[in-house]
Amino acid sequence: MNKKFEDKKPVVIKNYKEMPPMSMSLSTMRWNFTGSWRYLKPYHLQRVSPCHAACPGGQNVEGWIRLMDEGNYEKALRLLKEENPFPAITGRVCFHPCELKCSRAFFDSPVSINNLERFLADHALLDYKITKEEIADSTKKRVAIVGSGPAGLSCAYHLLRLGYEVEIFEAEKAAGGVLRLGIPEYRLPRDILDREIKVLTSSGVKIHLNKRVGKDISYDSLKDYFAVFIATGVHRSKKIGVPGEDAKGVMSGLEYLKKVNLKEEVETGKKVVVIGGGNTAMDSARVALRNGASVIILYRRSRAEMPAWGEEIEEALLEGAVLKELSIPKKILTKDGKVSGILVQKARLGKPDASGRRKPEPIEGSEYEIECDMILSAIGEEIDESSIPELKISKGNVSTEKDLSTSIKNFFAGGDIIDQPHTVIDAIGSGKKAAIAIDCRYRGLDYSEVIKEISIGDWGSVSMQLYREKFVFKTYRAPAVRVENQIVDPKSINTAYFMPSNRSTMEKLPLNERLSGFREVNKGLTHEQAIFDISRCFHCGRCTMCDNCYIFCPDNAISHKKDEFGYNIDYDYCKGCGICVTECPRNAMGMEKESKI
Amino acid sequence: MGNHSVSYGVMLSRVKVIAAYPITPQTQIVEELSELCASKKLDATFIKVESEHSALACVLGASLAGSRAFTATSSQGLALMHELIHWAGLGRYPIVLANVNRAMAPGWNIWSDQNDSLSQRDCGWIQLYCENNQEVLDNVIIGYRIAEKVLLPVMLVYDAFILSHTYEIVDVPDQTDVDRFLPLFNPEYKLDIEKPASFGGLTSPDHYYELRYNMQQAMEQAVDVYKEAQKEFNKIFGRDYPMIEEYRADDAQYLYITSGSLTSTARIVVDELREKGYRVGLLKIKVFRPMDKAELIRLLKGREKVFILDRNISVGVGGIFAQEIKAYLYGQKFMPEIYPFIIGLGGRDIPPSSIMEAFNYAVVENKKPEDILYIGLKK
Repeated sequence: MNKKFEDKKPVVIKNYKEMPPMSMSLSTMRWNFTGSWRYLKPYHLQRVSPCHAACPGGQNVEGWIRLMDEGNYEKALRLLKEENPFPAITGRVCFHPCELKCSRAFFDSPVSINNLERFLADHALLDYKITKEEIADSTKKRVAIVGSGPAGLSCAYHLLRLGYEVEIFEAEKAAGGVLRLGIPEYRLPRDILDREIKVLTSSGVKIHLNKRVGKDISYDSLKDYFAVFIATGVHRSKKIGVPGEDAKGVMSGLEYLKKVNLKEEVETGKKVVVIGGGNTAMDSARVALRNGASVIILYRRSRAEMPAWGEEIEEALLEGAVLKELSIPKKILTKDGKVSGILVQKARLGKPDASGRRKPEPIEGSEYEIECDMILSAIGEEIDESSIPELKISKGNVSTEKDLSTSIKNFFAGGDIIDQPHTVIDAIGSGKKAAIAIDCRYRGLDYSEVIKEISIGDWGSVSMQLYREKFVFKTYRAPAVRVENQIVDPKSINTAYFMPSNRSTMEKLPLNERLSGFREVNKGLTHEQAIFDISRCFHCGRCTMCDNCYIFCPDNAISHKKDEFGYNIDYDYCKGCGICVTECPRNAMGMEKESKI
Repeated sequence: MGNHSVSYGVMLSRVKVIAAYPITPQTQIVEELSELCASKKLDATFIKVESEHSALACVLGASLAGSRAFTATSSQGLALMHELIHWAGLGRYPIVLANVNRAMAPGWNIWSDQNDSLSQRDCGWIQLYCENNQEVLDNVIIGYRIAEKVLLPVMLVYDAFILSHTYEIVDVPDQTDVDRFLPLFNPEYKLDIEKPASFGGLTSPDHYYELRYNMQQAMEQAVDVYKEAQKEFNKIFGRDYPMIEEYRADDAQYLYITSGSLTSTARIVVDELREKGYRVGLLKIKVFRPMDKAELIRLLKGREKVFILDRNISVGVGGIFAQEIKAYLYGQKFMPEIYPFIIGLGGRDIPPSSIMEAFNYAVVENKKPEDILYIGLKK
């Protein structure tokens, strides 16, 4: 500003001759402290993006998308890996609850967060290593982890970075749990899986293969460890409960997938009937198709009630599986002890049952036979108590406290065996929470209090980054703006500032190339697509310095911070009109009552 | 037609920014100007807008940025501009606005009537009322010259259809002559990044009064500025538009006072009455704001009767010209009796016989004046 105007005194005009003809400024209005008129006070703040809050793994989605937007893919990947060690895996197999909550979903279509996660993991730091700097001072404590599925691996990763010696005991001959045994290669190529696991083993995580706890090693021998994390998963398929179930050619979908995935000897029938409507059923069907079978899927209710993800159902049908809805298996037909077909009864939908889905009601006299030589049952999995002796179980789940501790001292549990959704990202989240719980014990912290400090919103998302900064490294510095742990409501986005657009979709392997092998079906986003989808992010609740507040302020009371991100509000002049708050496209401003009133 | 006269006047004035919204009976002004811009005969920016309010806002912005700017409207459009009509006047923007006189609705009416422009009389605008299409063209050019001298906006006013849509021969002046008369617009006060200032901002009670006082001074000065401009215009172009034009008024006992196109009809009536031996004349009020008060008083002194014809009505008072003229004469000695007639509202036709009625009432029938007298009312 011109120096002569800095005295903040109004210009005095002594008579009409001194007055210019036009009504115009002869000086600044700095003398007029309009801030004294204010009843409401605007301020910049940081709220919680719905994607961040919705991730059971606690990923700072908005954060890493922003870093990608800035072109800093390495930093983006490192930020992502603060919470989730396996973006290349979850970028392929996650059911992405983040996208359901994405504010853009309420505008046009959600940002393709899951595809971007995969893109990032597939393009940045392919030789990713855990750095020495990110590993906390050694606690000199050993932790045993039972099970090398997503929960166990996640727990191992986080404990390693918190300064623990970690040993994993895996019953099978290869690490990965459900990622390797359950998920087919065309959804998750094995080199990807191996690469993500290698990040852990090359940093010192020991994985003991072929060690079934309870058989090869005893529970008691684990009690010497500082803590034990049990994440063995659920592997026992539920019985169909019809005559003929023991015939040759009847197999559980899980077992079938496991054999195929471990490249073990298994004979796939020519005509396969898959029973069930979940993801295991779809995986089984698609694997059988790839092994040369024709496939019929039987489901008791209608397609709308199927628990499998829509995309999986679509792909299975596209690849040639036939879905018979409202079909209840009544009896497995056999010939010489071998499956020869299945008797099916048709059903109609009745009233909703306890699960909220409409219950199938059998139609009398509607039975018919389907000829087949193999039946894969995939109507759900349950916990196998024999794999986790001594642990208290209630309602089919291992009983855990809030901090995931179990009935055995220093034993924690996570993944599918505890009461939570059976998804990869929930498993990863539970491994992370268990790592925090174990570390809290070591540091003498109250887990519940700690969780309050590191929760992102109130949907269960927890930040390992905050935990490490606040309680381990003690490097936490509050951001320059106020932080409110409140999830942004999509309605509060000022969508006038955004053009509707369609999210990118990945190219897929052509149908005629799919069934001849197990090549990955989804090809990932192109760079152009990724850049476009990054640009679609609203950055809910996070300032991007779009300058709307700065431009709209009628009092010029908002200015850029010097050499720093963000804005200053000059409350000497801010009248509290609230235009800045209204025009903030992303709800990164708030208003409060003026305290002086 | 009168509307084309305006467009050509604008072109000759080398206007740089035009923003207008079409409205009957003004539309051809906008059409012709857009064609002149498109064909590069006029080097100006033509801004399409969504309302009259925006049109005037654009023009004010352009003027403040240092461009000669123009807009045109009529009736409801002018009314919609009202907020910015004040802004233009009180902000001292030297623009020209052509307003085709059209009756205010409701009842919906597109015909000639002066109420639209006269209802804006207190906003600080110079108002020029035109009698024919030559006058319309010439007064666009004169308008800019006065506006830019005194920093007041000029409203150029003429009758719907009678002038706006009626063809007559008009002499289009040479550009070089016009350039001699009207130099390029180079305002002293404008938006200038070298001398940053804001315009129209908060003005405290300490200062507002002086701004208005200065404006009144400017309006008063406009009388002399108009006369000086008129004199030079006459010298270059040979046409004369006095602020108050006299027609056979020298020795007249009785005077008609008129404005706009009905003046021409009144001239015929005056001629007829003169032939009958009456000493009748006519004063045409060419400039309504500012009024040449001294001249008005001088011209009316010693006359017997004056018939003021108002094609407008300020409801509750009567004819607006009559009301103002009476006010100017208050306290003067040897003033005539004033007969205020309301005539031709909403475009009702004004034949010579209607104008004659005023004379018959006041002189032949020798009736007394009243606050409001009505001609042509269906009784």
